[in-house]
Amino acid sequence: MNKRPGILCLLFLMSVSACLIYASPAYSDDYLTVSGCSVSYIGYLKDLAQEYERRTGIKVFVRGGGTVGGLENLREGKVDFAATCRNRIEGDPEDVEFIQAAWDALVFIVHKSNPIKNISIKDVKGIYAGRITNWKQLGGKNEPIKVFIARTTKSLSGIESSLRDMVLEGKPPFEGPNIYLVPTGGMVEQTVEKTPDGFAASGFTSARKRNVKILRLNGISATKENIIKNRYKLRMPLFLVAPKNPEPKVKKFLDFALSREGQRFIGSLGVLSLKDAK
Amino acid sequence: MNISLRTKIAIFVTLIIIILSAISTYIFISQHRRSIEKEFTSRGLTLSYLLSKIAAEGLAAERLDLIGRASFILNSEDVMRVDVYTELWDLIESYPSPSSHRSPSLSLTDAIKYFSGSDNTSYINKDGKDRHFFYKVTFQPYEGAVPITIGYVMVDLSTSGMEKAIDNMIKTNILISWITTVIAVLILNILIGRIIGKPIMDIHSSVRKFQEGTVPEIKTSHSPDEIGDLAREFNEMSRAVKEKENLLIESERNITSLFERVEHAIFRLDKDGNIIKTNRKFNELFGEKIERLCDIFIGEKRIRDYFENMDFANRVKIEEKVIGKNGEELIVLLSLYPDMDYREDTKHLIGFDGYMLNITERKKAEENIRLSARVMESAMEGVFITDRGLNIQKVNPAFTDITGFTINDVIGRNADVLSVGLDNPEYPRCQIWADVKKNNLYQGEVWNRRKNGEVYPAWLSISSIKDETGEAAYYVGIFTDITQRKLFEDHLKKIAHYDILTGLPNRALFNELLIHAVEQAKRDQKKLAVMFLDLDNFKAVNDAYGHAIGDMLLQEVAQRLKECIRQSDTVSRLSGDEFAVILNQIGEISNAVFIAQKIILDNSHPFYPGGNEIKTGVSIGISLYPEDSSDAETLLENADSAMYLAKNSGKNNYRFFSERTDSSSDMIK
Repeated sequence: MNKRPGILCLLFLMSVSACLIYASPAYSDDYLTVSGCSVSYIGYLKDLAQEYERRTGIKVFVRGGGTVGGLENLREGKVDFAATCRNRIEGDPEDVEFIQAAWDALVFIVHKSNPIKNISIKDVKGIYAGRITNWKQLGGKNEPIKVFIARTTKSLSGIESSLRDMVLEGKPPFEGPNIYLVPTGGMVEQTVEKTPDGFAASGFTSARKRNVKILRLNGISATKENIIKNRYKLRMPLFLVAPKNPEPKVKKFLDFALSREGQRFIGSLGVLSLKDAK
Repeated sequence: MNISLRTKIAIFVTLIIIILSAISTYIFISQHRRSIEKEFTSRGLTLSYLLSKIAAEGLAAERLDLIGRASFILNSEDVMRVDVYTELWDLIESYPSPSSHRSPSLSLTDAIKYFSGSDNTSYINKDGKDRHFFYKVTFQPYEGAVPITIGYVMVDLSTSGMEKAIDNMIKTNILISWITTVIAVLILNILIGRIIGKPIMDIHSSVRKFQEGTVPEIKTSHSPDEIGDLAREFNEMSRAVKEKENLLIESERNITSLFERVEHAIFRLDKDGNIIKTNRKFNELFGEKIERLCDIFIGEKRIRDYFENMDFANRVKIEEKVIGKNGEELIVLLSLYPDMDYREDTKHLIGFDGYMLNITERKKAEENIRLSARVMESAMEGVFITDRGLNIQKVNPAFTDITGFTINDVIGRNADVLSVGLDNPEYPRCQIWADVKKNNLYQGEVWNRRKNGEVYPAWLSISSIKDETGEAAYYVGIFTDITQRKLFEDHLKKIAHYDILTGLPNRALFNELLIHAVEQAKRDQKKLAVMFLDLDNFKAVNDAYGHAIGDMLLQEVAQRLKECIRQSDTVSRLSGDEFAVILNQIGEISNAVFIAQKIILDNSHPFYPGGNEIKTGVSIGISLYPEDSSDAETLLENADSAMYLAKNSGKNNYRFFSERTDSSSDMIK
């Protein structure tokens, strides 16, 4: 009797086993890391980092996380440098240097569906003072105004700092029931995107990239030209924060950011370069 | 290649088992593999989900390292890397360390596309070694708010563990499948061998034996399945076939025997007339070296014409002259049958069957018979032929001429109708046939009766013709009408016993008649008288008138003497002018005297022979039985003696022999 066919077939069957082939990944040690305010991050730093990598081949990892987070990371050495949209304040690290890289402006944003188009400085003060709590008071719908403020427990965010300095005359906002505190400015913008009756202050540079409505202030639109010509008043600086004696690779990036090419690139992003406004 | 059915079934079943086993193994492995992969995916998603929650919490808690505390995840063996991205897909945190992470994957943009609104996605790294699981990091800024996406976490899980598990699972399953398949194949092959292979081998060997001529009995016929049925039916069939074969052999033997022993020369030809097969008789007649049938024909061209002009629907039956084995000329009756093939639409000739009957001897016999018939037809003798039952089969024209019976009168009827040998008490008809049967021959003179009742004498010869067994099959009767001869014989007889001149019995006949008369008288104890007469002076008449007148005188005397005696008496002319008379049963002597006186008286009157008146007289001597003698010859002599007495005593008178010593004659006067 012939049993061989069965055995042969089984052997053949067993030969069809397959396995996966492994390959080694590639790593790079030549890179920079930066962390900072959402306005800077979204407004220009992300694009600038990519342009830098394109020109030099050096990767720059950019993260948001807010001004406070950026300074914290820098202090802990987790990033090579940081970015912020406010001036140095008390409590900021001493061994760092604030280097202005561009200009920005404080803007007030609402949901796209909000019928309100304009707001006065007085009304802004009224909102943050707790006097104006309903959109009806501003000629809008009968809905309570939800005010979002980027705030951490550790330090003052860039936007709130600018708000206090330029609008609220140094005073903190009234913390009424319609005031909502959000960890970062980036989150504030995102929250307004999704909240029809939301209201918040933010930077022009980042807000223009969000799906929000930037309100005219005292009838003047926040445009690059209006800001340059100082028609739109609430101008504010954007800083890069680096150790006072930075590593060469950091220094190299900072030099690029401040160079003619770097500033021209920033300007091309729709952001006010240092040259645009003096 | 010769492969046994058992092997074929074994191979077939083995292949089926292997294919089924392979398919089931494949399905099982596929499902198992999917299950392992699902488990892997589930783990990846779970880890990425957990990390997203941890990251969100970290963010809410204002931690710089959002997920650093999730060491239980980060330190897992299969977790190769964990990344946290911003909502704009910028890397903000990476483990195990920022320096060891890979440069942003080229397929990161693909991963971004995959999200398209969903909370998570995953993709396999291009090298296939690990798999990236992404999960959105969402944050709810206040209670009741719509969560916002603030970033993504990515867990890079090594697939090696999964692959190893799959590999092991495949190996284990294939091993188990292999072992069970081998066992199943072995068991099935053994079963096939038992259930199918062995019985079929039995049947096979039996069929082979059957082909070799024996009638085998298949042992597996007791099996209750289809193979058992087959075996039983084979057994019955083989027996039936053997019986039929025996019948066929017997039939073949009979046909061959008939073919070889028949007295017909049988042959078979192909369509061109070449001889294919012949029987013994054919070879006997023509030898075995004949190749073409045409070769044996004397009229070869003619037989060729037969072939060419043959109507294939009919046979040919002809009488032909052929040349035998030794060059002798034979006459045969040839029958030739075309053998057609009707299987196709247009029938065509295959060959011929035929036979020849040697009729040379028959032809000769027929010639003889024709000759015999002609002889018989032209014979003067009447011929009749009967069968053994004496029924007439054939007669010839002479028969009809002689008997008056036509052929139709006698054919089929018994020979008695011929009335052969009728009414002969000494030789009755039955004796004739008895003689024929005993001696095969009878010859003799018989009296027959013609159709018109006339009786005629015939010389008849009957002989028997015997068949092969020696029994008489036919009787041939040949007869001649001998009426004419008989008359001639009577004439001859008359010449011998009667006197030609007077027509009276001569001396010889008289002597016989006298002997008969004496014997008759003795029996009857009667008296008899014998007279001796002599004419007186007859010599003188002869001398005077010549012999012719003398003879005429004698004739007239004889006539007067016949008139004087009774019918029962006899008168005879002994010689010359001597006459004698026998008087039977005379009773008294006076009766003899009376007749003697009457004779003397009648002859005393004148005669007129030739116109001549002649007077004569007669002298009479008389002797008597039993007085004078009881012997015929003596009686006549005594009467002669007495006549001399009468002559001496004066002529024209009579004397008794007893009167020699006395003159009784005178006394009577």
